[in-house]
Amino acid sequence: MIKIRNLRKVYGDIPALCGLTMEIGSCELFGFVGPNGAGKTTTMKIIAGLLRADSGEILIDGERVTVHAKKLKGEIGYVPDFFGVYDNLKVQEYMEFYASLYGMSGRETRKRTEELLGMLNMTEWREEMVDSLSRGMKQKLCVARALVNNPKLLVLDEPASGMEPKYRRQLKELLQQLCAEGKTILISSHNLQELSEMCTNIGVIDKGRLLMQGNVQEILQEQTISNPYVLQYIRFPEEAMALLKSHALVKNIAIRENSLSFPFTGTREEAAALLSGLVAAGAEISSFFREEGSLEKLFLEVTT
Amino acid sequence: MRHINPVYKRELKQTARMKKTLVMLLVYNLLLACFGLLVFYLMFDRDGRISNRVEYSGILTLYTVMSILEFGMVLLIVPAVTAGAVAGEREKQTLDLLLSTKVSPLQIVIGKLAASISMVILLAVSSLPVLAIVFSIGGITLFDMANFLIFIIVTAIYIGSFGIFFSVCCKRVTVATVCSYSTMIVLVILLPILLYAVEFAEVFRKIGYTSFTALSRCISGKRALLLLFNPPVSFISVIKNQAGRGGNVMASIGSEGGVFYFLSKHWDIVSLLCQLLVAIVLIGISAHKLNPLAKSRKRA
Repeated sequence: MIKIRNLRKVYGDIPALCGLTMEIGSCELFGFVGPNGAGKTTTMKIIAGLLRADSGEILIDGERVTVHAKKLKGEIGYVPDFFGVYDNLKVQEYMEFYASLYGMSGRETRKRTEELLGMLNMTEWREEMVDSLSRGMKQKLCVARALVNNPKLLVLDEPASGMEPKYRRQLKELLQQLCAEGKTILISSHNLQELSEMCTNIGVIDKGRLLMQGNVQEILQEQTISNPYVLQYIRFPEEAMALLKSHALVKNIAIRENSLSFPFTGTREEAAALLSGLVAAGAEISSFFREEGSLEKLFLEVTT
Repeated sequence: MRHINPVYKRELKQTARMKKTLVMLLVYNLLLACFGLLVFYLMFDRDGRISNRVEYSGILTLYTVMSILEFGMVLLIVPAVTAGAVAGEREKQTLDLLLSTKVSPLQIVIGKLAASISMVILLAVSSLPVLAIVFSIGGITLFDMANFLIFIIVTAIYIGSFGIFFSVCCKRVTVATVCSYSTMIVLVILLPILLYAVEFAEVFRKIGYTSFTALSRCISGKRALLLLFNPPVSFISVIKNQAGRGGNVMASIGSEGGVFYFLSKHWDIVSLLCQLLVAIVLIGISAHKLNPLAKSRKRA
């Protein structure tokens, strides 16, 4: 769906993108992760046709954004990291205005507006003035607006920042539903836990370069395997400790109060055998598990 | 309604809902009506009672004064309204949203300009009943009035195109407004003063002294062509044709003979065409500058 090749952008003397290359497949819910100033917004703006890259190119379905801008803009829905709203416009009119910008007819517009407001539980707000809405509602409206042209690609720049948990959950479910319906979604957020639950794929960017990219589950699984085991105990006699230290697959045991943690390179069966041996050596163990992989931990590892 | 520029349609809707619009219409027409009726009273009722004589050609003065007010309104309002058009969208962070849709930068610029000018047209049209005072005596025809309305619209487009241009170039509304008014001051006031000063210096150099005759002489030669872009001179030429006022300026330009004589006779049409041309160029440049994907010469 999206192919980004060697994208470069400089603001004055500050490089924002330094040869960014990445690919996003069709029907992917792609999480774009990176620290502030990493180049996420710049990349998203270039994809949405709002910025021209200094060099490199972006292809959407094989078409260059700079060449087929007008056509591609009709297939992209963009939500920036702010919500621009107009005074003196009602919610319904706001939606109708954006629909008219895509050349939609009156009947088509009304139908689509009704559908989207219903989808985002905003039907009862249709007669309200846009500028009187709460922050969360404005953000929901921005997402609805981005969907008005029924785009194939949704580019969302931190769409849930400042949203209350209820709306965040609604947004997450909506995005997953849209992805299942065949839309490709590129979303950036600083809430990594949420992204790891929602996205199918992620890309980590820093200083204008892509540091890693892949399937979220595979990355987390890979990270989980390299994570240490944690053993929490009530009683841990010397015999058990000697057994643990002498085990060929156990290295670098970290000892804390009532818990131990150690990297273990064996299989689940080998871990089960180790646990049985420790219990047999007189250890009273309350829990024994491998630390779960998290996007947050991965992000910190990759970006530092 | 489907083919109306959506940006223009939205702007009209928003403007119509603003209390400011209502107040502006009310105040403008109230002032114009009070002024018109006062002048009408002074010219016909009072003078008739005092001197037992009524000067019916005074209605043309009344028309001229009211036209000056309308023209002044365009010069004052249009730069302010248009300067905030695109810069305002940028400040409200809605410009990127507009540009991310299928609507072209040219449509945005035209929609914005048309909406700003609509406000001026609304003021001009709403004041027609007040201007109709001049029909009570005669001397001014409906055709003259229509001509004047066209002149007001073209002037609004011309001045508005400068406002839109600065609105696109400047990030802040305040800066765009300052630039628009500065340009207006240069175009409306400083340009004639400068040309006049050059003319004055030339006369002084030729004859070694200046006289009231030299001072009263207007700008001549090719320099006069620059006045084609000066709205007040265009206004004078329109009023001269309708009410016979301001003939000296035109006669002075025509005294050069040849093409200048032709120009002095058709100054209103030629100047309006020149101003429209400038407006079209400025609108084109504005649309190009607004296009985020347009190639920029300034590359980091």
